[in-house]
Amino acid sequence: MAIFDRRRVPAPEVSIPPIYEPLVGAVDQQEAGPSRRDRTNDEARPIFLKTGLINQANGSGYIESGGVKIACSVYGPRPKLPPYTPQGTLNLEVKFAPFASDPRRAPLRDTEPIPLSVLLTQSLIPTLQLHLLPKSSIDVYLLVLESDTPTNVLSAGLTVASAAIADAGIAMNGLGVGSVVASSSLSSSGSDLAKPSSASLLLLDPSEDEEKASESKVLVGSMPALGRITNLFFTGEAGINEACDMIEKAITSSRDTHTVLAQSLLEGAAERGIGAETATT
Amino acid sequence: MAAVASSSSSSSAAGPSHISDQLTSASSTAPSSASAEVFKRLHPSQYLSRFLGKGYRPDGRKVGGWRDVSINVGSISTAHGSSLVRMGDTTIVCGIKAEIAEPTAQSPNEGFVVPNIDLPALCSPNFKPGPPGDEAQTYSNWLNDLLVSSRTIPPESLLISSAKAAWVIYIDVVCINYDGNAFDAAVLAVMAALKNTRLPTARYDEETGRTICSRTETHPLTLGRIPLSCSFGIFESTHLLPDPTAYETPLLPTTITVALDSEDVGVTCLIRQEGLGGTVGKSGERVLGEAWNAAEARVRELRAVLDESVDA
Amino acid sequence: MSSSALLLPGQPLPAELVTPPLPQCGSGCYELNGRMLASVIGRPRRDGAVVSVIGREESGNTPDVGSIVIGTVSRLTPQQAHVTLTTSNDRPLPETSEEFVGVVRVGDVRLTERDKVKMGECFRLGDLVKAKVLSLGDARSYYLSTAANELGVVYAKSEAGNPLLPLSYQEMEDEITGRVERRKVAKPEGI
Repeated sequence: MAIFDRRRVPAPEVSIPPIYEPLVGAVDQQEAGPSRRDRTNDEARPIFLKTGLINQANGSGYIESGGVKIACSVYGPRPKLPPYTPQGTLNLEVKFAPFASDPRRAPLRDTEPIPLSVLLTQSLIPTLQLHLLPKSSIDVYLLVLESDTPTNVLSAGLTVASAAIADAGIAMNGLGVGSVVASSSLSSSGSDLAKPSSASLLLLDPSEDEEKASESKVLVGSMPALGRITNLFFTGEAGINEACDMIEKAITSSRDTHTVLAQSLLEGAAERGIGAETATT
Repeated sequence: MAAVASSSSSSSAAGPSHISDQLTSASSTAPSSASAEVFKRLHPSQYLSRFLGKGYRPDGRKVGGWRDVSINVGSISTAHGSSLVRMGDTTIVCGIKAEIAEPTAQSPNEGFVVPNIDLPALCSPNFKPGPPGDEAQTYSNWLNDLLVSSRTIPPESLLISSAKAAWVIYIDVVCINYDGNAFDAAVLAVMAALKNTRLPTARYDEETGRTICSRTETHPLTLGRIPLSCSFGIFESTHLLPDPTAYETPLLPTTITVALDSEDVGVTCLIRQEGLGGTVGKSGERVLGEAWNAAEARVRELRAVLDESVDA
Repeated sequence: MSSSALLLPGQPLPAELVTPPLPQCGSGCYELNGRMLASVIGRPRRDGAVVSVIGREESGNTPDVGSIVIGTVSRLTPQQAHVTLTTSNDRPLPETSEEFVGVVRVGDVRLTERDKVKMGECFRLGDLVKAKVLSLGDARSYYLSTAANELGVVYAKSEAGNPLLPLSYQEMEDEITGRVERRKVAKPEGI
């Protein structure tokens, strides 16, 4: 436990996040039910996406989606350190600002970004044309400024990384977007939105509480323009048919995210003046 | 809880938070001609010298000018207090998280303040991923010195119960876009975030040995002096350049940082000079004096922006 | 001519650009299952038998075989000169923490009398050198050549620290002290 970090200002060895007094009244317990109050089950929370904000980078993006805020920058193609590779390499790093989640993430003790980086790399590689970049690397850095669940970070991360890579002008097969669907079994709470089906309730873009209450969830990375899936990350327990329904729903929603992504890329391209000069020639 | 104070409040509550607004105002400079870009890369010193000779900086301000500053507070819902500062294109986010720890035996009535500045690989092509580099470490130490020496957060004010429990205030500063002078922007961001911070009211329970926080009652931090910093570089022993950009910084072997306190009387909290100081025909002290005067005027400006953003 | 809308990666090229005779995919687009799709954000254009999508001008500039590059001599041995590259084909290379490095081997310095080349009489540390990329080289460096009249040292400072002016293909003169130093001089542009 005694990791002495001489690169940072020292902190007390142990500190604990605030513990709050127990809740009184049943008001908050109702909110934990599977049904939604603020939107329908097939409705994702609005996404805000903007490219080109980090002008030190070759390409960049910033996304706000549900409880997640991520800044992403892309540097490259850069010369790659030996060994020589005939293909380009994708280096991707997810980093959480220490204040980006509850409880605080102490630097060095935070290991979660590593598997997230791996999953995100896998989801992005099929969208890239790395064979065009011998001896080079593309460096993608994601900085999470605010987060609720890791699944939502992955989903928004994939979308914003795609936006930043496209903004950098790096060749891609298509734009990748992420989408999450959770499945909860119907509890007895009289939810008016529940479908007549007796099985389970599928929730698109689940909030933190909804995800916690769910039996299974799936994150789908896809390229809607090509109708292809780049990564499927399923956790929990569900029947085959139900799992297929969940994937189906995620893919449907991916198309909407793709529209948002396309719109912000076109706006970003206009700001960079892409196409303006070629039109005059 | 997404209450956002802003100098220019525009979007509705449902809209994106002000981080995006702030970032959006990033100036996208028109692409200059290819040969100018090549000259800029090959002969940076001559490039800068030509601009200064005409009385301007490469980014269009006057030689003695500062970049525009804007501050937004409270956009990060996972933090107890937060701010986003833009100084020119340099963009800094600061988040404050409070945790609870046992005071040390030497100082049983004091809490802890832990400031750190991170310059991640995301923010500049010249930084590598991994633990904080030299520049980030230096800035973290400067920031710590500044906060301790000016007693910005008096450690006694963080006590919950003597020798049992006290607040630890984690101040984490992250740079998102590094276009030079990150330290001035970081100090401003820290002060804005501290003013924005609200802690839950905490009570130490002797029986259970635990500290319990209220869900409804909160209070702001007790703040001491609020220092603000101004940095300069000296180019070829001739020009004193305030608020250097990332492009100018490597060309400025001497740097001066002056941190000043309270509005009316210029009380210094920190002066730091690296390099020889002095310019042709002027002694080091005179140049330092010039820097000080320029800093006094700048700090008044910064303080106005700070007060406006936090009170809004 | 090219008034078509902006395309995004994965979007098919407009039908009127891919009419027979079927064009080839140039830069910024690719073929998938018989369809031609954009791979970057940009406007499509057809030049005869080639279609391409024109995106950001400054993006993805890496040295390629045949590129003319400019860089600074960062290491010098009797066998080779290491050059840190800053521009390629008159465009700046992306700024990075890992630099693009090229190597001029002793046999690639000049066209004639290759066996008599002494590296110390051709380059000095800090010289700006214009060179052509011969190959992607080894794992670390691009292989460069300065074996042409217009290639070689384009800007250098004398031992006294003053700028040097070219005198001949092998000599440069300190513009203040008048001392002559030896270099593999590039023919100045416009002469």
